[in-house]
Amino acid sequence: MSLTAALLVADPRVPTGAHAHSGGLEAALGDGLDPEGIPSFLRGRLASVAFTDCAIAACAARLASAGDLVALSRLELEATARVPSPPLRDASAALGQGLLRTAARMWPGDATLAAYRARGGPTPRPVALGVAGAAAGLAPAEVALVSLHADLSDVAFAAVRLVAADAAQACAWLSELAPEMERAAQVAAAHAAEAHSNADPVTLEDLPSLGAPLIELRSLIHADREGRLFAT
Amino acid sequence: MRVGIGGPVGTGKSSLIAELCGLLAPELRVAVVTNDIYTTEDARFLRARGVLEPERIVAVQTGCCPHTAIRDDVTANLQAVEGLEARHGPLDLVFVESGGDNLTAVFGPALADVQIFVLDCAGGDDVPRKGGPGITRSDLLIINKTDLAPLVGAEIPVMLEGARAHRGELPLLALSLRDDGAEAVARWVRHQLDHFRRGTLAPSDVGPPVPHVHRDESGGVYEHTH
Repeated sequence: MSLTAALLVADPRVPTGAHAHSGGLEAALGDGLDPEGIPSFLRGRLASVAFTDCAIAACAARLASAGDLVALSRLELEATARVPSPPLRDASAALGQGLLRTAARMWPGDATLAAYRARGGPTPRPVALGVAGAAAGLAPAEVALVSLHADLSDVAFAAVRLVAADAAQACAWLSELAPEMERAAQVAAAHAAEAHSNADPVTLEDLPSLGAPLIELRSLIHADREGRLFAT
Repeated sequence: MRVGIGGPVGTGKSSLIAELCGLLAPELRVAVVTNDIYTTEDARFLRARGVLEPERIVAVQTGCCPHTAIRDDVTANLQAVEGLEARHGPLDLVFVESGGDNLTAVFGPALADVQIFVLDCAGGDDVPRKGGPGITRSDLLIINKTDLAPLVGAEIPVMLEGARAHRGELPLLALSLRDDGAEAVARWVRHQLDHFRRGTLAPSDVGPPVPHVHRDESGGVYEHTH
């Protein structure tokens, strides 16, 4: 049943607030990125921040499946430490909270999801996705793939509104990246398994921490820019 | 109580909220969330009007899709409302202003307890006849800028008739915010809030007597009575 679960979690119509985020694309275009370079921008995210996030998400799914709320709290710190830019941290926390809000309606019987959400406070998006994915019954590698899909499709479909990109073209960018996304998800899941198999103490600090300094820096300028259409 | 204010671009949504805040803030705890297409324009307008403390007005981005942000995915708006409640709460009223959109843009039930849709006569007097959820289902429909009707060749009775055909007894108000202010709307909001507090809010409630519009005998001048 995990395909059904993956389709449900990955559906961009699931309300999480993500439609108002461009994954740094608006800021990059404002900073002179040629629209021709959007596929490269997508590939850049896949090789850096999106990969880091999907490894965190896979690990969160493992910890949530084990019902380990203490380790999930530590994972939140690890996720937050990997996002230096305050606007991007805030955005991740808002998207995580938004996802949990909907997930709690979709899987009301999941005890870990309910307990995790009841603690309140901000939740980085990949950690929330791992918890929601576990509630849906997804395996860690599947959660990693959903995380990558969400990250990159946010960017691709923001492009449709930001530049004269055809929606079918945006879909084509994503389908072209599909094999790389699958590979990255497998690698990320292996990292998550390694971090978790050293359990007690779980070595979360060894999870991937690839960043994208330009995306982080531009996000600071973008947050104060008049006339922006997207929150990030 | 959360009051959604929707309607096309330039019909007077921000001005309506500014007037309502001026009338209601002295007696109620009020905050505002704006959904600009171009970010903070409306929030800045409202802050500049000085009707509320600036920190009681926040803006959310909608990624080019104002209707998505108020209906299909209200997450960012809900978070903005909850943030205001956490910082300034408890609040009696939160106005959520939609980005200017088309006639189908209405608020989802998780975001707005009641919703007002604002048209103006300068957009064409055939607009109400076209229908759409904003016109057919909003809890209060306002036709603004009646003072401009003679200048743009709009027939207010035609607009009222067009709207009435879709709305039945749902309240309908034609006015000029510039000339009349928003006292009639404020009374409607107070009435809804009264129901909301007593747990008897019924979106189809027609509320207090709604002003009507008639043609002046000299022709071309429209008035409403309270």
